[in-house]
Amino acid sequence: MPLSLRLAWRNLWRHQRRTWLTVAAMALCNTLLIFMIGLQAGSYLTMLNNNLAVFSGHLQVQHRDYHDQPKPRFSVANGVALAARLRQLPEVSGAAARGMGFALLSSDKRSKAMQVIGVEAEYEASVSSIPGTLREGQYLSADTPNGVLLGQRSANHLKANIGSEITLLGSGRDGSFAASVLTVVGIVDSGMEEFDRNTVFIRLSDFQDIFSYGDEVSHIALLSASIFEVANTQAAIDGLIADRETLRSLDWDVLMPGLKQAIQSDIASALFIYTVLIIVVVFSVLNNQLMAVLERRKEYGILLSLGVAHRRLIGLLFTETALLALLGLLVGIALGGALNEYFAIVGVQFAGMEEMGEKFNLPARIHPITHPLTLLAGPIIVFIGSVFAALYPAIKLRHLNPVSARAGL
Amino acid sequence: MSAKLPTTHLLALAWRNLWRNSERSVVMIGALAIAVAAMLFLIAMMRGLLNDMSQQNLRALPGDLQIHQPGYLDDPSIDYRMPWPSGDLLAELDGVGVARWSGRLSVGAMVASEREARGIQLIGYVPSREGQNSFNEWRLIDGDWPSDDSKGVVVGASLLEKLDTQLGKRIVLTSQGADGEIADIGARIIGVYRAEMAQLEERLVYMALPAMQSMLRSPDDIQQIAIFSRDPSRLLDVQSRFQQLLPSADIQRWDQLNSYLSAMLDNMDAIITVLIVVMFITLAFGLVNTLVMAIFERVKEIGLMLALGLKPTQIALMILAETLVLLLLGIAIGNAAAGLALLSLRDGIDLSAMAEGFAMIGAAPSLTPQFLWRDLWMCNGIVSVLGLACSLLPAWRAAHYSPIEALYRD
Repeated sequence: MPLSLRLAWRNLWRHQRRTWLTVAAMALCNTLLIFMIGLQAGSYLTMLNNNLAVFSGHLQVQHRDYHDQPKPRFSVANGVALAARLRQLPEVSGAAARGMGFALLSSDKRSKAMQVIGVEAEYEASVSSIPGTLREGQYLSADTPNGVLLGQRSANHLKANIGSEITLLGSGRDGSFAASVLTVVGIVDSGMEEFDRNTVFIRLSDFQDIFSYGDEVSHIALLSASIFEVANTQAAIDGLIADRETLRSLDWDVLMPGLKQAIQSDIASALFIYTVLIIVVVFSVLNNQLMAVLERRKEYGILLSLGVAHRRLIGLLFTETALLALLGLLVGIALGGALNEYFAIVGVQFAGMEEMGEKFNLPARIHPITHPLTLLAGPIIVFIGSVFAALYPAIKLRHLNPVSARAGL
Repeated sequence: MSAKLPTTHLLALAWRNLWRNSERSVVMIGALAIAVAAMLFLIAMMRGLLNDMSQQNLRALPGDLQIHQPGYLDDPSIDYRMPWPSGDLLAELDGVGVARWSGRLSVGAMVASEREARGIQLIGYVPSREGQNSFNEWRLIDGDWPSDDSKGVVVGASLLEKLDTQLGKRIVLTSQGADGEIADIGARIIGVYRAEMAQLEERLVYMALPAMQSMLRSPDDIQQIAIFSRDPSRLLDVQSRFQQLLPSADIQRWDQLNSYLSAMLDNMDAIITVLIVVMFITLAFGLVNTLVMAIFERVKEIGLMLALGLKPTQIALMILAETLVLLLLGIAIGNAAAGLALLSLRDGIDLSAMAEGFAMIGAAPSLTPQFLWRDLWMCNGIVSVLGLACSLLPAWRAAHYSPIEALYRD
């Protein structure tokens, strides 16, 4: 071990209790940072996956103007054929065409205006988790002509059961009257209250007949292998639809701008807390090192008189601070990592989370993520901040005069 | 010999001790002040956001207290209706605790223009009772609000655009009538409003209550009684009075109406306490360190004081007083800084760049911090009490030095 490192190490332990207290402050701060960042990452990823996989998909292919003005006339021609071609792309893990309309639905007891979504029954499950939430009856298929799938809540509202007849009244794509009699074939529970209350599903082919869509669809929903590969997938899709000028692809960020912004504003408020925590810890380190410099005035005076350069003493101080910060970093990572691993298995539950879960479609427990980034980001900033904290003591040291310092002045 | 040390001397001693190593004290006070200021600021912002979410949640159908038939809130259907208040209920509503009240209808409906159809929430209210007082957050940009006998509807600007229609044109409203049959009516658009959140603007359509009652074939029936209390702090009393009068009705305060928000509101104090305590613990290590150092450098001096006859209790009190002065200075500066920051933001922070994200959590894109004295006392109280608690052990140890050993320690 080089001399300066050994000196710094020994200096550190001249006040064991003081050193341990400062290390503990850093370790606690690091543990908190690791845990909170891991928890945030975990909840964002769950939130993204759950929200996008329920209905919107990672990407959609739409008419160029549909997103800004969702009108029936801005539709995708030959939608089913296009969806089939998109499905062939290796980047696309699921694709399904849909029609979107509004209509008044009536059972023999109740009526309610709801969104009617026409789905490709055999492919819908590849882009949406809703088919998997079937509670009663069966999902739409070729064997269920004029079948309708209700959400749990809309079924309650309409007082409808499997086999009930539902009348649909609305207006078609061309402004004509759209009417049909449907039979309830199944009941799903998407877990999203509003959605469940206001949405019903029918087969795309029925939708096209009832709402006079011909071979048009409203959009094609697509999933890519993971949320991190959306850009790649979008490029592949854009290549395929390049020859159709009226179409464009939109990623989840455009489709659900609220999602990214909700995450961003949450990150902003978390960053505020982290910054304050880090500042408080850096102040502790600053005080620690300030004390060290002040109580060693005589010693520094002697060393300076003996011809040791200020530069060496400052180097020693920074080495000492870095060692201190390193201890805090290592203890913090060990504790934080362990805490994360524990809660990754057990899950974290907050008060009010069930209600929030309903709102954002989150599970009742969140599992923090341990990733080098979530593990290191906080502690490294604390480390850098701590080393910076030695700057002020170092400046004091720089101006130390050997004669007066030796006298303890 | 038993020396008496008056409190003023004790404080003077503590004050001077604090400035013997002024840099160390300033760093500690600085850390305290930053932590306290940041906590107060964050709490006010969190409260502001929650408050805003609760308000937004109520914008559609405001009211400090709302009376419904049981079941309505889960399933807002015309089946859950009640007659316009009369008798004892009317007397209580017109009583002293209530500033004003009104009855409303609110059902899901479909609106169709010549080109488009949309699902909306149709709200029937009594303009002469509520006027724009209830819905004054909506800015009317064209036309007029309805009068009591008006048959027209007021729609949001973005719904108007989606329906591809305009002011003065007719639209068709369809819903379920009280008799279970489909009820529809043609109505003229007589007004267009803008709301802070596009979500609401697209969904809420207003009309006069009588017109809506005749459309739904439920003359004289309403679904909701909204009550505005004269004194918000007595709301619980008012609620229990009405509950006694209507034992079977579903009577909710504004802060209970949304399960997510009421859970958040209930837990807010707990969340704030945890936040302050966590922040304090991070701070505590530095605080204890400062104290331990301050005592460590003064071992000889403390030994001398003990030898001169000062009681251990007085030594401990001196150190506690020193801690208290340190804490109070940090808290005072922190409070002042937070006060200034909040005062400069009292008109709200514009967050329109994140409008859709805020809309998703149900808040308007402008955030006004909400300062509560309770939060200030809680934050200051926790920091002072825990701070003094941290100093107990070092103070006790210092008080029990042996004078001889302390005097001769090097």
